[in-house]
Amino acid sequence: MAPFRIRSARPEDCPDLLRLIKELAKYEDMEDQVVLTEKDLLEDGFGEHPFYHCLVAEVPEEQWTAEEHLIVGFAMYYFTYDPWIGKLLYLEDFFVMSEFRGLGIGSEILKNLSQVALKCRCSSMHFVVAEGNEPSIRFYKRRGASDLSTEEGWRLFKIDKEHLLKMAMEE
Amino acid sequence: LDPDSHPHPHVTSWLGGHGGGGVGWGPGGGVDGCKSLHFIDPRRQAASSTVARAAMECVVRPAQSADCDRVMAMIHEIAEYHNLQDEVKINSQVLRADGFGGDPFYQCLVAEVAPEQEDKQGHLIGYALFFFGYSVNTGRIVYLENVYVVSEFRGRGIGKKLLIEVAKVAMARGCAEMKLAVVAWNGRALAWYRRLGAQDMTEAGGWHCLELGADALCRLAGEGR
Repeated sequence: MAPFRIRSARPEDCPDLLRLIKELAKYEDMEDQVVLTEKDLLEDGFGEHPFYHCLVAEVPEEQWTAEEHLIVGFAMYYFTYDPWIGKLLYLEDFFVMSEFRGLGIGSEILKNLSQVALKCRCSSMHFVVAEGNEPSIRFYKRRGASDLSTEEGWRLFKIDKEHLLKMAMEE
Repeated sequence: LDPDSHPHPHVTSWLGGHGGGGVGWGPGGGVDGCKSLHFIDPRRQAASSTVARAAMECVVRPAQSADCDRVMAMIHEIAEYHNLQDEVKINSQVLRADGFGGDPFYQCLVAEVAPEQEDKQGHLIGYALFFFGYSVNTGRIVYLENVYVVSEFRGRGIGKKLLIEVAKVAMARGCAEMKLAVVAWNGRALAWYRRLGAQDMTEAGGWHCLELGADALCRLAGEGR
């Protein structure tokens, strides 16, 4: 029996998704920034026009975690668009529980994502990594990723809700 | 960084001009106040009075399927400006299918000036291309891919008007934030977005944009285990 399998997330996975999102946030020391709820994940991921898609990694019962968790990893992604080349896949988040690393789950998830990208005719996959996150940067560079910030000077900007509201209310 | 290096369209950098501080929308203001639309010939623009400028109205509205040819033409303008026409791989049919098929992959707002005569069509002079995404921290977001205004119409606040309308869409859909990318050498765009309250997360948080291109994806997809 395979040690794990990757599949698309289902609505009933939302509690596990939130658990893993929070675990990742904790790992990045950003736990208090997660304001998402299970209800948000359900509405936003499994409605008519989903805001995101998710792959999950599950392990068979005999390997369940101490707390009896079946789902031990996830990848959240959505489709983006480049006016010159069309569809792209954006990888928002990607996490495997520490106890389950080193088994090839991450590589398998990435393989699945690549297949999704190609099937949907996406020209490339984009994602964001913090420059201090050496393990992740090495993981992606080993697989052929280029750093557009370093190489082409891309700077990512964020406009928060307060400023969006200010703009939206302008005459 | 060399400003003539590959600019890549996946950044919202095509504002040219001043973008933010243009004149208002004439009497009534805003998109809905355009009761009387006057078309100003851009060739006379430089010599025209402030009154004539203020009278020029521009409407920002959602793009329609029929706009794809013109939007594609504007996308080509950007590529041509940078002598990168070969980098454009899609055409207006693809744009139409991807934006107006059953499952849209992007959203588009266009800026339109009224025709000289009533029976003629309006002319598109700018667009904003964006899409919805997700943040694991805060949920729904809007990603602003591209804002463009044709050169003759810059400096009149049309870029800002487009951005304002995207912000309204974002708020209406319950989005908690907007994300966008700008290349480091585009000082004007950097300043423009900063003035609107955008924070540089690459500078502040060390965020780097990584890309796995087509070749890397093929290798990853085909890997055996």
